[in-house]
Amino acid sequence: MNDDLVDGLVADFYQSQTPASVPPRARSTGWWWVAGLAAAVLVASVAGATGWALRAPAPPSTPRAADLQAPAPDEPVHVDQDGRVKTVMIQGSAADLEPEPGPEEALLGSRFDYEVDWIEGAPPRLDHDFVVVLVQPWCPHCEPGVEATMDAVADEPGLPVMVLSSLSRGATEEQFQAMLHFEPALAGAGVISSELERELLVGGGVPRALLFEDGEVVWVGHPRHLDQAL
Amino acid sequence: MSTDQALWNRGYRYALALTGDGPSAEDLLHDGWASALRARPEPSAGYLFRAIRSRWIDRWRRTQRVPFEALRSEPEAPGRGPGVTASDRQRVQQVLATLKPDEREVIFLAAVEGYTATEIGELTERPRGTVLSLLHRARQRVRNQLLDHREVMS
Repeated sequence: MNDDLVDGLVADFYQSQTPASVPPRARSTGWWWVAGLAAAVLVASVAGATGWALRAPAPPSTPRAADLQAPAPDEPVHVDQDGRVKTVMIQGSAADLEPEPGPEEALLGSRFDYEVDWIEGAPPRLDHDFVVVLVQPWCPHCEPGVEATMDAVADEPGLPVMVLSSLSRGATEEQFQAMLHFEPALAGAGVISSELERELLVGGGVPRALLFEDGEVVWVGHPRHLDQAL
Repeated sequence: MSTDQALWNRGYRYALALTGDGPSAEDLLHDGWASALRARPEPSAGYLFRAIRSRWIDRWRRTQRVPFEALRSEPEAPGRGPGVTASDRQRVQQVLATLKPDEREVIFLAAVEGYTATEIGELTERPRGTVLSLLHRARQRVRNQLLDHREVMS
């Protein structure tokens, strides 16, 4: 059995693997942040009108790499042997090029007030410690994610867990209820707006757990890793 | 298949090579995809791979452990090439689950993506010699385990 055959078998296996999910959004435009800004303004105005305050995480203070990509004509551009641009000298300090905070980092320290349409249970006090799990009924990994969360908090009496979903892709409350089995330890389950879900996910996927202490996000990650945060 | 979907699938396979299990790979892919899109509206495969890898390292640093979970069982599909059976594929899946993540990563990049050792070294920030060593070890382990299995079966 030579290397080519080994590689062929490995390639065959990986090529047969496909993700259960699809790309979350089209990337035909660089103006996604405009939609995000519009959504944030909409949520803020609705929140103001209803007396609910939603404090979104502060935007990153450093400029994005994409904003810095266009070099001035007199700036050096290094081209490799094939004529491809390898490096482009751009204005700004090294600090300007630091990567943006990821979904987890962007949420840490944030506070949210929830407008939730509760379908089961009662909301926990938002100024206390609690766990939020974001799920979708169509997501095959979400039900195990809820179970992992309940396992993680089993040794944490008094730490309420609420499972929230925006019921996207036409999912129904019945499907949502069916995936939860109405765990007796759940503090509540409810439906939230897709805007609030986007705020909480910050580009990440479901299932996602958020641990709040005194109302502030102190940990974000996959529910299976929640036990390491507790 | 759209360009996005094709890139998404490639990203998933790379994440699968890193994590070794489907659910974690999906989660990693979502994070890497979002990160890549934030920086570039039209990320290349190499850029997406870097974003996924960066997320993987972040998680590893945060948890200080690399989960060695078995690859999930997929519904059996007929093998594509001549001589590749569904049971061969299942056996390859089991063998890949026994490799270390860095071995799985380099054999994936070489066998599936067709990267050279130099290109793998650039992506994974390893010397070319280390890549060649990892690749040799990974292929040898896959080969030996598959041959052992065949001997047992015969």
